[in-house]
Amino acid sequence: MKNNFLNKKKTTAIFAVLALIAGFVFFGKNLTGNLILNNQYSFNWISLIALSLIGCAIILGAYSIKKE
Amino acid sequence: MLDSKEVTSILLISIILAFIISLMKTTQLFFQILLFVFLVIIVNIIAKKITSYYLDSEVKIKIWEVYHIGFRPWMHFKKPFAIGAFLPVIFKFLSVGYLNWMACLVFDVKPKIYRAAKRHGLYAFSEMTEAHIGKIAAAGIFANLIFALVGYLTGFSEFAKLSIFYVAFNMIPLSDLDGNKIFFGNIIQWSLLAAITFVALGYALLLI
Repeated sequence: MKNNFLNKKKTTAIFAVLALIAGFVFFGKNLTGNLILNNQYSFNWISLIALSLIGCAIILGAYSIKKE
Repeated sequence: MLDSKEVTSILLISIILAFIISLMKTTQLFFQILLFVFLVIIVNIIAKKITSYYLDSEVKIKIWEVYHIGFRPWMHFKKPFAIGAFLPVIFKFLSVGYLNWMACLVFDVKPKIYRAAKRHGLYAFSEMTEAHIGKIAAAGIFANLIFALVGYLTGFSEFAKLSIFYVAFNMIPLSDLDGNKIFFGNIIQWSLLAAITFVALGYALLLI
């Protein structure tokens, strides 16, 4: 299991960075700036996906920087 | 390879999902979705069967069932309830037609008799380890993601979308779903696959 390339720290670090970037990109999709007259419920699935991506990035990042 | 019970479960779930997704708007749409859903499920199952073969075990596909409904010992149904067959309908009604729940099938793994004779890593296990069960579940998810990419590149965007939705719901670490098996098998592997799935899901919701 440890020899699996998906478990290598380099791979997890790359995926952590990619997940973080993707998370922020998806968050950015909801920032319209037109908030004054918007009284609708602001929940959006994309925000949830972005939040989940940042969560994954944190897990992968923590594993990548953890010492053996 | 597939016994009659498995075939029945796959066909039943394919029809339920096709019915829920297409809402029988047209017969042609229903059969198109039915074919795509069936292909998505078959890709997932074949990947799992191949991986389990290499790990000296046997995978049995069944409809997702729930027995316990709480932490207390008495909190359970009289018989296992096939929630996988009803959840798509319940979700469709609760979300006013917006959400199509697609995680309906789960699998049981049984080690083959000669598994103990072979070594897997440092120790010989006759029972299946959490890591190996996670690997089998991850293989199905990975195959669906690859086929979603192939489908998107070859112009079958609806197939790609269905594959991604199927994977996204199956990645939820809940009950007996694939996500839970991967999560407890190897959390890093789950995070990697979840990151890829969420990116694909965001892309599918925004662009496809």
